[in-house]
Amino acid sequence: MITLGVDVGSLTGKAVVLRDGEILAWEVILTGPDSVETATTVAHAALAKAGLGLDDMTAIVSTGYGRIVVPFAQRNVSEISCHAKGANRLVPGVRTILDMGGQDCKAIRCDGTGKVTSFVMNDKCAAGAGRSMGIVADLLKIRLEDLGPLALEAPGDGVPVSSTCVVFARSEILSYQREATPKSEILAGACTALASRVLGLVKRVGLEPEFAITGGIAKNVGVVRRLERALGVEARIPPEPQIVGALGAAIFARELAEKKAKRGDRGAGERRSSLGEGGSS
Amino acid sequence: MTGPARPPVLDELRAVVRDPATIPRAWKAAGGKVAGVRCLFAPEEILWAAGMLPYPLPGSPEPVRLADAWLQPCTCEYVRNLLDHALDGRLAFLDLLALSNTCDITRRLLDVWPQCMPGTPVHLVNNPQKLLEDGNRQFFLEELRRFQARAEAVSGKPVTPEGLREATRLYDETRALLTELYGLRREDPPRLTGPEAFVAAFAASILPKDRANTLLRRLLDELRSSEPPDRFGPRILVTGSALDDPALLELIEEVGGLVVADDLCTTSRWFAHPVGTDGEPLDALWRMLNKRTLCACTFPTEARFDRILAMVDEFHADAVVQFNLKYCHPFLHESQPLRKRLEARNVPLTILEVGHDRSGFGQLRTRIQAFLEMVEQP
Repeated sequence: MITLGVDVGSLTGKAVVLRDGEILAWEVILTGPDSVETATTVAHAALAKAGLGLDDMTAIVSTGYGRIVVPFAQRNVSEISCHAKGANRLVPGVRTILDMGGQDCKAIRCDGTGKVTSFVMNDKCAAGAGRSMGIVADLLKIRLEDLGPLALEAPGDGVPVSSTCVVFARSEILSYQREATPKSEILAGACTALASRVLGLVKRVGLEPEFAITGGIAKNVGVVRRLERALGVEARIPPEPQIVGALGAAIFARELAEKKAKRGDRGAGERRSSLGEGGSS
Repeated sequence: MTGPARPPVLDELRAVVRDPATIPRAWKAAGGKVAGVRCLFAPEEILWAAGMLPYPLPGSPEPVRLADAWLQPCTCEYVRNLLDHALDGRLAFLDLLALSNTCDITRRLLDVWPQCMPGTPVHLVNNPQKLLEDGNRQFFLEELRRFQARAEAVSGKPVTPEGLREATRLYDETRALLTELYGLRREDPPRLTGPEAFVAAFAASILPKDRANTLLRRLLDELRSSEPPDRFGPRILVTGSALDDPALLELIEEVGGLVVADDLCTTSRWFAHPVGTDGEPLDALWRMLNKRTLCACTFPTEARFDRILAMVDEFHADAVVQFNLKYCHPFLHESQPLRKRLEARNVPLTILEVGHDRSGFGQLRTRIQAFLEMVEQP
């Protein structure tokens, strides 16, 4: 059985093709202004790598911010459930997940089999999310992937940077630049700010190992090391942390198809798809 | 919604919620007077007996503009939205503003209102916040008498014991009809959706109660002879502060939940307790108000948590959504103690902070959907 998971996030679109539980192909692209187009492009790119088409898919599940507009998905599942499902595949038995995406962060607790037992989500602005790192990298004219290693060059926590507002952080960094503060100090400060912001989220759901970090920021070693230090545990980073949500969606698609095959035509989860099934008044 | 046709009277009730101000304007056009009422402790029965239309002041889902010049931006978005309505003339029909001693921001309206709307008098009922106590009776009754005198002065019509008893009977009938209507949601699937029940209760609070009772009776008849919508999903109790917009409930149902009960200032808390006609009418009002430990500004808090748990049982709720208006501190303070009470009974809870202007609904959808997925997983 071949299934597809598509994750339309705020910053990137991800797709994973799964055959009998094994990842056949995946793709990550930048999200464009049109979510339908992003979903279609990333799905076809992943399928092309596997030499397949949409018609070869037994089931397709979408997730992420754009999940409700993906025209070829049979069902949409929240990114919280998908990250738990996907992370459990890559880090078996995981119980605490910190998903740090482009515009929000979620701390998720699960039961060791990929089921969510509780979660919290950042509820204010994008400070503490991937966007803030992009802004910092732009300001300092460095590549995003260099940001983490450069931040580790500073011996301590760096200069203080606001953790509650990206716009405040931006003006603080501008004044540090005028004072010729070393880049590594500023970057260390930005990583510390981000880590302290999401630390509260993890503490609210309660930390229990295995602890995994998913989403784009998992690639930022500057943030990951600071979080590990503050939490006192080692974080498991899955290979390709960005595709965890899409992988979870592909696994949900597989489960959906299996349930459907077992029960005949009445898929249990279908009602949850918001497509064509609006509220009442 | 797909499925069987919905009761036609719902369209009439929806129209009231969509444009509530048409009701007080029509009342004024017919020569009547209108009293805006905020919170549960300025009894509407007294206003009605004085010949006025009590109007519960629904807001509108839009960003705050003018009120930020008067109130801090980190205060209740609903009250600031109402002040916007006052400042831009949308509440020009008010003859009186009746407030309760509940949250800070409601009380503070007493300070800014005379400057924002000098032509409309404002009265604060200084209700005790510690309830379920007989010791507050004399003080509370004195406050009710003062409120009655103010209502009489504004309307020009004296309130008689017979008039007050008549008003109580009318309001108690609305309460009984809404209680009966909400009871239909105990069924599985519920005979009416969460947004439909909200619209019925909220429209009834806005309409003159004789008119509301006619429409509610029609709704009950139409519902009894209609097919219940064929729906399934986790049964959700929504508890929280003042909700004046069905959008949140629509969102919960859109992502697959069934809102089977709501515990809100604007709905079931408003109609929960009948006054009764035993004894002196003002005393009967006091007895009812002294039972209204339903708002997060009143004590004992445990009485309210007991009620929420009783509702979970009565309506067979699988999970609870606590809805908090942005910056509604009294209810936000309660979130964690409520979580503990519900955890002890294995009832999942999610705590939402919602913008009155519907900001952040994209993220809200993700939270609610993930919560329902969590509840539903075997």
